[in-house]
Amino acid sequence: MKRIFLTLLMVLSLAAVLTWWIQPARQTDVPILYWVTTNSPIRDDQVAAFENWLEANAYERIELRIDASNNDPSKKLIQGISGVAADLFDNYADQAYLMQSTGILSDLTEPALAHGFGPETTYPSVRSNFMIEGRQWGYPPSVSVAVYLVNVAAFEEAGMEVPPRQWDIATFEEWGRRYVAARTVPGERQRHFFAGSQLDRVELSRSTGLDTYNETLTACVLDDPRYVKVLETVYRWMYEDHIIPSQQEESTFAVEGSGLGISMALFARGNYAMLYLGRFALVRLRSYGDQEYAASFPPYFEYPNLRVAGGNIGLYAKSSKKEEAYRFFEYLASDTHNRMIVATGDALPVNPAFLETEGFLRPPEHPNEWGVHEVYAEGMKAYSISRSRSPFVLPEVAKRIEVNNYHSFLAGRISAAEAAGQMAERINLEIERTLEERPSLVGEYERLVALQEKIDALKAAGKPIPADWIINPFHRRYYRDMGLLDEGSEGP
Amino acid sequence: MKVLRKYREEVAGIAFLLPNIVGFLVFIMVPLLASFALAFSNWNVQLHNMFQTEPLQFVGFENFRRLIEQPRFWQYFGNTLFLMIGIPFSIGGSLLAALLLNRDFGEKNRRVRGRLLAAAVMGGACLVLAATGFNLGAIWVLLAVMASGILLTGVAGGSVVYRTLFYTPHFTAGVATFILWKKMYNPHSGPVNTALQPLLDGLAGIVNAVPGWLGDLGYAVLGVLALLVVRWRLRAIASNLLDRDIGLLAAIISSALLFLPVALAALWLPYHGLGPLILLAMVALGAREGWRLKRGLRGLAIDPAYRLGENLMFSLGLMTLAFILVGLGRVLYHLPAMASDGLNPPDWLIDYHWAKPSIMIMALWAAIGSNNMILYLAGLKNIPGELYEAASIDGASGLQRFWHITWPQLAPFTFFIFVMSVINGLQGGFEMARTMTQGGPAGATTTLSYFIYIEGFETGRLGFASAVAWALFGLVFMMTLFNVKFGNRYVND
Repeated sequence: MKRIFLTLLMVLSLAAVLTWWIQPARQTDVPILYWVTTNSPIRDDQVAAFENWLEANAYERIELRIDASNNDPSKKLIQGISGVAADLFDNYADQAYLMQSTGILSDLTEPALAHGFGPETTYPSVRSNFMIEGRQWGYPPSVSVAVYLVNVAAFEEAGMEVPPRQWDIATFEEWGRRYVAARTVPGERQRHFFAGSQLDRVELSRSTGLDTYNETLTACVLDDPRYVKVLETVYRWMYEDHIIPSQQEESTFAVEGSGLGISMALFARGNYAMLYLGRFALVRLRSYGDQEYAASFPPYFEYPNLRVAGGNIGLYAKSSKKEEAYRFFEYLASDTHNRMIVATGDALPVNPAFLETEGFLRPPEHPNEWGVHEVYAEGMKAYSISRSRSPFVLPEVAKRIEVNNYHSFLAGRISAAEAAGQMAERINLEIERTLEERPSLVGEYERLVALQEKIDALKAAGKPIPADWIINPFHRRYYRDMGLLDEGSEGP
Repeated sequence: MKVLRKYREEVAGIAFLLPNIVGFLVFIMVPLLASFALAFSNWNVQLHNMFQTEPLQFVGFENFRRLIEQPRFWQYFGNTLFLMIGIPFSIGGSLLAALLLNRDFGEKNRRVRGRLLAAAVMGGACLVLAATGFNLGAIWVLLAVMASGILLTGVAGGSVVYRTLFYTPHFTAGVATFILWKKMYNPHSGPVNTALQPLLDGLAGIVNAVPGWLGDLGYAVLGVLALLVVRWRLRAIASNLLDRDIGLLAAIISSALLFLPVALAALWLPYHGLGPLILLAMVALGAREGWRLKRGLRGLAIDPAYRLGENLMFSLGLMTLAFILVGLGRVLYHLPAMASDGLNPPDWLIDYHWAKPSIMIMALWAAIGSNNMILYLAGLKNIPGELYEAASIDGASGLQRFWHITWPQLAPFTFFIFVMSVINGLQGGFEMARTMTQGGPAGATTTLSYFIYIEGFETGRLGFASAVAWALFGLVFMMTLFNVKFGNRYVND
């Protein structure tokens, strides 16, 4: 028995040494960069393009390996704080804020200047996705805004024209009701909707002049009649006018797949006449054939706007391949990569100059998409505004609270006013909790609250507000467009 | 060397045990103690990790105070308790399965012939229907074919085949079954609604054809039935109390539980003012009965908690049954209005009100053929055959044999299964929530275990998450204490 035991121990020890010995990194002299991202053919193309770019520029060879199995946010966080994360990892939407606050991201400010991938190489509205507290913590592989893609054939079948590029809420609803009436057979289950269920409640809210947070990001202000109006409007679209499907209606379509895949399939086959998505959708829609598409901006109450989406790639603070990673970021800012984004249709190029290129606006292989790309370009240039994130509450926490109350409202458990009230109350409680947990933030918070009081006084008096007082990117842009911003004033 | 030789055997033994002991210490004991300490700390991955220098602070009971103040905690605790309503049914299902599987299959020719005939009829019917183009839902054909297959394999393999089939859900990977159930629950293309829709269409036709007052009558009948169940149980408790077969505390708690469905039924009554009146009458009757019992109990010296476990469990089961009767009554009351536009099957996981029942149904399926069934099977094997023989000689019917022999003999198993199910219920729900619903809609399927995950790994508040985990442990520990205190006594009785 003892011998068996010892033999097993030796075999296992030997296996451990062997496993370590045959690690991929030990099999090659070329440095390997691990990139945690989604698994898609475009990523493989990007890897190949990066390696070609290195060769073309006579740089040292670097092997870039995709790791799609660790892309879950919790995995990235746990691996990061445990010291075993990949060199590079995607941070979607607001994840960069959590990652940066834990300290697992490398500060790229200086390397970005040296390697030419600083914030000035991309759109102003995108910078807050990777600039936190004035420092750079990542770089986007692409950027995105969402607009309504239009299935032209669906409108033709309804005997209607292609919708206008810009519309207010009333026009949108009027078009929607007409479309649904034209395509619904009385007595039968509704199979055609004006648009898919995707929409951005923050954009709708911003179109009333209201953002999730106040000007100094110190409080959630969704307990406002304007947000109640937004919730009631969405409810009306779903349950009264039936111009967009409720979750229940959406699930009645017998389409295999999940999430966006289902919506895109339904859009391609005409069940949804429009779909609110970023340009990346075009790549996936190409597999459904060369259908003719158009595009419209989302409807607005008073102030047209788009919210910048997309994420960025961060560099792990403990990565041993930092120089190689800087090279990869340099590639992301290069013309080669931007041209590739233009050609593949994977969202929008990082460099704004590429929005003007013929290749972007009118891709030669896809004439059916001409006209669509320029709406994305116009949206990005003219209407895009950064996301607003309070430094006193984690974006993921605020989002969960908003979504839970929104679903409670849709389920009929609470009224729109109660939902809006609870969203604000609970997000503000989270802010209080953060301050209790992190006393180091209290000083800054109190300074901003005092500033907010001054802003509120100016607003009440109808006077312009000094630009430097406003931290929320939405309010800064909104007040500027409304002529309510005092650009010349000294800050606090 | 001498010493080593002397303790050679001990050293070898310890060496053999060492991997296990080290594994236990490193992966269980140390994290357990660490999480206990962290429950009293402000550990937040944003502030305290290998990249940050901020010192960890002990905050006393602050995390527990926050926990109690959090409305979300209570909502998710409520969800966890709600999902546990299915426990009596899963226990009943396991018992039923064990009783069926305890029978000797395949020995008597008459039974074999019967099963062969049933399988042939079902299979033949499917073929005929398919050949004649009868528009039967594919799911029904599939179910019939599956049933035929099971009957036929049962003929070949006897009870072993059936036992294996019943136990299958337990050793099937959880995530795989959850994904399967998610597909099955698809409101339009899922087999559950595909099978339900024709039945509901038929039901809607019947409901629309009968007078509307039948719905009221159904509500009344089921309400009275629920009252009769409660009354029967209360009488049994009173009688046991007088016979010194139950302690006073046990009687009070067991009786109080039964008032819950009655109170709810009264509050749900569609006739305004009647509900409070009924409640008042119930309280008056209860007080009168209590007064009568008090006189009868004079001079009795008995442990107040005597047979608490058994009676509590039984009352919980009956309370659930009464709840269901009242709920069904309400459905009957509203059915005519609902059926006027036709009846549609539920949206299951995406409907706030159906999400929890959907998960309960799935859990019931998994629990029937679980270890509970195996425990019951073992229990049934241990019941002395002489008891049944004696009962048969005395002319006891099958039901009487079950009620007076099987059920009491299985009581220790039932109690153990109940307690273990409650503990598992308190700890469960994470995989289901993560795989099927992400805790939604509107937090309807977020249980305490999923809440721990959200707090720990989505918001990074590991200290607070540890506090939730230890609060959960407290609940489980109380259940275990309950088992030790009352379960053992009951087993010995």
